[in-house]
Amino acid sequence: MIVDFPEAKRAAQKVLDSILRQQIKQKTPTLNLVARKKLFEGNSMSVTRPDGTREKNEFRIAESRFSIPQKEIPNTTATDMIEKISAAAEDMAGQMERGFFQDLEKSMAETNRQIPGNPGLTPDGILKGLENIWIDFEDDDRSKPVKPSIIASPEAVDQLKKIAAETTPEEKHRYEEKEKVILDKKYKEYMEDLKSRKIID
Amino acid sequence: MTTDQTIEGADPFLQRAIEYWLDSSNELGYQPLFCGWLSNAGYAVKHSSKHGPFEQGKDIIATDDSGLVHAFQLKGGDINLKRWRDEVKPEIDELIDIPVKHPGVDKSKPHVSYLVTNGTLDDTVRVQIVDLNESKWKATPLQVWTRGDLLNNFLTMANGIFPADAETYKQLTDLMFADSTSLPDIEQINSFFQKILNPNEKSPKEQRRRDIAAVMLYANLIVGPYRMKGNHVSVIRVATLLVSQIMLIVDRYNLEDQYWLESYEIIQRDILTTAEALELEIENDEFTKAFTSPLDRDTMPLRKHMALLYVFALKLAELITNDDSWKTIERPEMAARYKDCMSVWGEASFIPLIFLAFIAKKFSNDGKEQSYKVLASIVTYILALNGRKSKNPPGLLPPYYDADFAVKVAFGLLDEEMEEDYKYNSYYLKPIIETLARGGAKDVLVQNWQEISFMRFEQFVLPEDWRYYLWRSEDGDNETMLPKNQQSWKELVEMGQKIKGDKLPKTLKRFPIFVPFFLALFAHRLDSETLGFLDKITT
Repeated sequence: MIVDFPEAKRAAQKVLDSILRQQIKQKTPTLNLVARKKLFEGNSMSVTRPDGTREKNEFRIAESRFSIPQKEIPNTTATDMIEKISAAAEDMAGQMERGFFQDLEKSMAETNRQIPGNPGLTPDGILKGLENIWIDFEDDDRSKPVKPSIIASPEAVDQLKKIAAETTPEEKHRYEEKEKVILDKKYKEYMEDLKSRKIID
Repeated sequence: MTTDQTIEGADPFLQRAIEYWLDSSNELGYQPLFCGWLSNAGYAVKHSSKHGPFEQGKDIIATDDSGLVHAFQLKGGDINLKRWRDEVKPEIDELIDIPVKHPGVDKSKPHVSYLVTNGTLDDTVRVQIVDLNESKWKATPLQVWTRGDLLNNFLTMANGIFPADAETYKQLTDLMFADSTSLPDIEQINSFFQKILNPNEKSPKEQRRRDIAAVMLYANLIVGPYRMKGNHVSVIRVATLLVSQIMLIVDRYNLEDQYWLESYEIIQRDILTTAEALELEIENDEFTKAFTSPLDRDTMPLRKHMALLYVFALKLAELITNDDSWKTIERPEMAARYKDCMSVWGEASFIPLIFLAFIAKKFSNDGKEQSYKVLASIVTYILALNGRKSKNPPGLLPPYYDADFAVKVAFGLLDEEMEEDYKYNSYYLKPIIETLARGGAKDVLVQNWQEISFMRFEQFVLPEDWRYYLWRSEDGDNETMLPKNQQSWKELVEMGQKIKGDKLPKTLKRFPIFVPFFLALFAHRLDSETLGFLDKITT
């Protein structure tokens, strides 16, 4: 063989791996909202709820492949490699996000937490959503509700923006009042829940 | 010293590796492996000394199949006439003249005496020994084993079990020449041990015995440089890994005592002796002496932490075996010495405190109260760093992250940015809560339950008990348990009382003295079962 420079190649590979990770991170906005933790061993993960029910999931592999024909290798530039890596990242990110939503949908259905009637992404729909979910309050402070993030298709977001632009100050005020009522109720529930957390007998 | 001679039938690489190790060891360095060889050769090792003044020339006492007693005086390096006269001869006189005093040995019967050295004897010394053997020592002549004999003996331990390929040879060389002042690369050593022990393959029991002898040999080659540097923590870590991998084989394949027990006892004795040497070193103000560079200012807290971990492991082991030496921990000067030795980077860093909590149960003043105070302080730490009000990701790291990782974080040496967030997660909280509940420390839990109820108890559930000894297990469930908002105290106590370590591997329950050292290395195996077991055996 002709002498090589493996250390330099390893360093370059490290950079490409890092690009792949960064790209996946950029392309998985939903997963970025969730805290990440690393698992070091095992082949499954499970959650055991306080009532003793248990949900177990096997690990899921996200993978993508690309190949470069031998004759094209001499002309493959770093930019070409990054493009291929971007495509692989897109593919893997899609698998990961789809897997996340599939699990979420399954879990929501099992625990009866889907809003009936599919209200759509409108102010009323958002309020309905707020009513149906648990809200935490940072530092147990009413003025610091931890409002949820909305994940929606670009079309739905555009539609919501259009509604917001056409909303009159009175409508906006009415929306805020309704939201305040919901959050007051949520805060009361939150504080009651907090007080209920204790050792008994 | 080197030799160009290759011993017939020996693997030349292995011979050179043993020669290198043997030539850079002193008598303390080769003593554990020498015991291992005796055991492998059919002797029963009755005693292996710490080279104190009360040994009467007998560093090792062993018996053979016929019940004949053999006593060994171990020396390091060449013995010339001056050294023979000034140092060695008086000890050999004691070795030969004073009967062996050891339970189970008939002191009225003569014993065979040996002078063993990893060096050579000057001709003048050899002549003197021959003369003495024909006169004064005629009834019980002195046997002499020098470097060549040791080399031959140790080579027999490999017994044809050599690294199978060039890559494994390289792995062994890398491990033997690693920086002996640092922590050993446990993952690499574990991978090497597995190649020798073949835990996933079925083998005849006699083959297992040979594998264990071989892995002891290789472990000693790896640990030699650490031992020569006096890096006690690293010696203990490699020895602990070695015991764990032997126990794995024993439990997985139900290996009878005759194939492994004596090997375990030799390594366990080495672990204890090394931990005692560490304690002694710290008593002699080693923490101050260890400051040799301004850079030590940043690394010293973690260096102290690792030392503290193993001194506390020793104290707990002593308590478990009813050895009153553990009581030194109650002395005020001990508290002063180990003050400010704790660093917190992750849950693994709480292990010394957890050991202290079990030791404190036996303190003469308010032991139980002091024990709960220690455990309560850990609960407070976990809730502050990973509880719902914590705001600094990644928070307290899971017990898979060790001190090496903590140093990398402190010095900005991580290859990648850490993107994890362990808010709400804890591996140690549940076992600690169970320990507090078992002991009736209701106040601590009443005070903290509101915050505890938001946590997620993490635990790794292993499908078979022998997997506890795996550094990483491919099979197993990463279980997250959500605590109840309203928790019945009675139920909590009952739950805690049910856990007594029944699910632990048989060998771990049989040798509780090993548990503290095991957890000091395998911090990720500290769970409800291990703490339940420690709680039971320290009550």
